[in-house]
Amino acid sequence: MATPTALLTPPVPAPALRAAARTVAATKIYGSNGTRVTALDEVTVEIPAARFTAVMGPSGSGKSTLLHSLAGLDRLTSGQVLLGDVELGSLDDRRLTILRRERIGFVFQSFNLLPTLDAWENITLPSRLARTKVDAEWVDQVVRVVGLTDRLGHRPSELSGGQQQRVAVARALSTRPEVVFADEPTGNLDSRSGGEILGFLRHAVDELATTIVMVTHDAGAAAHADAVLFLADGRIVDRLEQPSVDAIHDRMKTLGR
Amino acid sequence: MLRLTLSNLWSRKRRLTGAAVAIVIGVAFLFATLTVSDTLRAGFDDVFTAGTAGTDVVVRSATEIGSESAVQRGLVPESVADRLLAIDGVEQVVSAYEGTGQIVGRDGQRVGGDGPPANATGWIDDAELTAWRIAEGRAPASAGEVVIDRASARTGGLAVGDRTTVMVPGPEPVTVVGIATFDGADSQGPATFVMFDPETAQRLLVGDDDRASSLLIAAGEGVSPDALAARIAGELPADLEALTGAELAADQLADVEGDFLGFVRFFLTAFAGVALVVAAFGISTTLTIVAAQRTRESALLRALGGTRRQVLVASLVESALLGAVASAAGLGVGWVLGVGLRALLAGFGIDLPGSGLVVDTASVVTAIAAGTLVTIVAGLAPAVRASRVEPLAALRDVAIDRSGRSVPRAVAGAILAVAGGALVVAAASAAMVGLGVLALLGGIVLAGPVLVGPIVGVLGAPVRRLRGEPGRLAVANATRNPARTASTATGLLVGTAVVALFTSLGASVTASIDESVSESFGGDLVVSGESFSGAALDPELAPSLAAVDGVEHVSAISVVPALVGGSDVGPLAVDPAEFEPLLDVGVVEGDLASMGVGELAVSTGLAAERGWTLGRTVPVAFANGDVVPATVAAVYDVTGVMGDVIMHRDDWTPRARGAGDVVVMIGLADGADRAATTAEVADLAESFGAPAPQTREQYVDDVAAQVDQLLGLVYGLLALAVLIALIGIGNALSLAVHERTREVGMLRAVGLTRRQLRTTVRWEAVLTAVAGAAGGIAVGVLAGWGLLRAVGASEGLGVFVVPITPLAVVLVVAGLAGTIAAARPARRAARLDVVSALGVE
Repeated sequence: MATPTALLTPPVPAPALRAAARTVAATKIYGSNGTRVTALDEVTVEIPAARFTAVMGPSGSGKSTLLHSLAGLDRLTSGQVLLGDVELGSLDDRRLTILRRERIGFVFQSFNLLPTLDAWENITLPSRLARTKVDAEWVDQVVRVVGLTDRLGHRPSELSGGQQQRVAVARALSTRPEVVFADEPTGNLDSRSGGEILGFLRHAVDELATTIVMVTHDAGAAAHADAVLFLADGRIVDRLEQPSVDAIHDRMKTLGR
Repeated sequence: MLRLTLSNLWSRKRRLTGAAVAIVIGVAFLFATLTVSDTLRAGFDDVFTAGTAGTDVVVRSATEIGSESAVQRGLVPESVADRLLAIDGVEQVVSAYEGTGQIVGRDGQRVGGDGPPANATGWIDDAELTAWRIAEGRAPASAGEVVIDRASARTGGLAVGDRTTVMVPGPEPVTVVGIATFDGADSQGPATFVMFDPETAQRLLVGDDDRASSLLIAAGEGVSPDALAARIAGELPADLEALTGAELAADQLADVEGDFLGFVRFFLTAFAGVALVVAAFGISTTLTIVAAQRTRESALLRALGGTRRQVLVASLVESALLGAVASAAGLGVGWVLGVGLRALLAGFGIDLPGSGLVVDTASVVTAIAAGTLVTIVAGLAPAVRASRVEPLAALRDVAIDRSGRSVPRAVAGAILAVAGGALVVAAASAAMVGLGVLALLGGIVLAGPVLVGPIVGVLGAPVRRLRGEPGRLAVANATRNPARTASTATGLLVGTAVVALFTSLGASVTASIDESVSESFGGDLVVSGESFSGAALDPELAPSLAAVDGVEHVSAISVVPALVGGSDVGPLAVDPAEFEPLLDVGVVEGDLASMGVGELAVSTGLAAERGWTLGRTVPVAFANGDVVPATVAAVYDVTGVMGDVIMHRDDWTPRARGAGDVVVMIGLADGADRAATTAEVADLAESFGAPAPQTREQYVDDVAAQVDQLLGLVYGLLALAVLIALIGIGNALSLAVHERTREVGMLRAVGLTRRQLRTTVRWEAVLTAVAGAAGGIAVGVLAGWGLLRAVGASEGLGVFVVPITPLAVVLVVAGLAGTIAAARPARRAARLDVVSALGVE
């Protein structure tokens, strides 16, 4: 068992910041009867706005499910997810999709770019899906920040992994989303490219006031965040503010046991 | 290795099902075609065998002249019978009289209409020499009494004792005194039969007191028919021949096979072939995609020590098994289809009684072999590609499939396509056009992957504009694997090309006839006989029409079975003085109007070919053995309607033996009351049992309607090929969606709505379908034009028309069909769960 204090200490209350997103008693159960798996067990959490929040936990702890639920990709079994004032469970698929493309950005572990589109087209894809005018000034700024200005005409197959993930970051930021969800964004990258991506995410929080939620295994990556949420068995078991790599390692060790 | 192959097939069964379905349908159609024609053949065989079962030997004229509807065999002098009876083993000799006669039913309509053969014969009062038996009433005993077959009695609503009319081809009032069955069946196949007493039959059908159509001979007990036939042949003059009953049945069957059966078989098999070719493209696409998805697996196999040959053989065995299993399933479906096809043919009046479907071993073997072979050939390219995978690919990410875009391949394809196109344009024969089209298609297959990008780009421009991002994605997806899109589209291209070919030929036939009628026909009305049933117009009709007030010119046209200068050129007989003002055949030399008995008019083409000039005497041989010298009195230019030889009616009538006219043309006098005259002509025609007269416009419309009817049949058969092509498109799309699962998940995550996703998939299908259909239309129209240019002149077709509206409809239908093909993949894509789709590696 983990250290008693760690398990018994209630989650540290969030700082008094405005919440960009939150869950109320969010529960997600997969399968039925014999094969029931409770991925999220009445999780109530707030994601503070304009902050960089990392989510960590052992495999199967429910961190991806939490991310997907917050992002409106997956529906809860019970409980609520709110993005701003909007309760996601009340939206039908079309509205949820529109909400995603207008208010949420995504960065995936495996880049997930369209091979048929060049970098610029990939970056502006959400705007064009919405048939809204691309905010060229903003996108230019984002592109400059991630250093892709001279790569915009390239297809994904002509870009390195790090460059592809930079395209993905730019795409996530292109619509000025309220929250960007990143799922292991550095998982497929070498440490230098990964460091660059984390730097861009940090920059987006600090300079562009974006809210970022990132799921990661990597303590080094999580240390770039303002806070780390720790999950185990579908529950939030701890929260570290201004985490250091060592502190995260220590915490993970106790969770991993 | 075989175990691996089998488990591979099994694990991919769902993905391969689509490909298999294409084969199943193609094989089913082929098998149904072969089986139905075997069944028809067997049915005819039964009928002919039954008809000649009791007849040991037949004596008939050795001379048969003419083709299709105008065949005439010489007659046999009945005096021969006495000599035959003297021959050892001959027990009985009976004269047979045969001709054409249509029974008019209770409702005044001719039974069978312009359908199956309408036969008139003499009643044979010898149970051994005929398979006809009186079922009700009695045999005909005197003029005006007939026996009819039971099927005609039923359809015509006639019973024993009823009075009606028989057209032979003039109306003959008769009383039905008996109803007969043929070998237990209601009739001899679909044909109608009216049987007179022998003297009347001889008078009406043969028109000669001491001649018969043939002599039927019954042999004595224990006499071999073969030996007797040989003995009889030795006693006969050179112009007569002796056949055994079995030989006669075989001869009759051969006639039907060469004509109607052969046509049906060829026609249906050709469409089955098109269906299989279309299926081949669908399978090729599927196997290519499956191979691409398995690149890693093939590479792993290679990395673990599998040789190239092993990978190649494994893939080929896979396609062979797939083809064999699907073909076997196709047999089952084909049997069901065969039952349906037979019912359809029966609906067209082509039916035979008796046994169910005749399943021949040869048909089973042919169908399975064809299906398996097509699958193996279609799987060849993907198999070779799979065997070329480098072992290292197992460790690499799989790149986009860019196969088929090599420059040499594109250049070779372009050269082949251009050469094929040039051959089509410059061809001098139908065979060369066919060769050119094959080369063109080969070139398209080779260059397709390069062509498809620009074509879809052009077609996609409005889609991108109107459908926004989903439209752009659709265009991008349709061009991301050009080889696949090209091969998917080519399936539809082949089907559409055949549709476009027939459509443009049909329109051209109609337009050509319209043009030749409006250019050369100077008359006002036409009465046309029927071509299928063999029933023609009463020769008395034309003279009677001439007497109608307001009618200025009347000329009948009849088809003459005669050899002119030794060759069967299908001469027509007219009344020259009357004919000349009615139809302008472009006389270049001599005078047609004053052409007399014993004279001929020949076409410039035939004159040049045979070196005949004005004044030259040419022998004309008739079926009855007469050979008449005839002098060339005119040379004419326009062969569209009249063929190569025109002769004087009076040279033909004495030898016509009741054969009627095919067309009567009528010119009205200036100032005649058209409506009244037309009405009077119509009344008169009706009294002769002839169809109503038609104006030029009606005549052209009638031809157009016949063309449309034939086109309808062709479209029905091609629908199958198009269906297979659509299955191919749907299948390729399903596989593509499967392959892009993660991409779909990402698009949905970043904001593509379900509806937009469906739009994307749908337009990808529509673009592929329309690209294929557009290519097919281009190829088909080009082929039609080449064909008409090559052989149109000799067939009397001078005008080529591109039927814009029907072809536009084809294009639109292809697009709609694409939508339908996309329905399932689109739905599946839209249903994908975003989170799990994103998790797919």
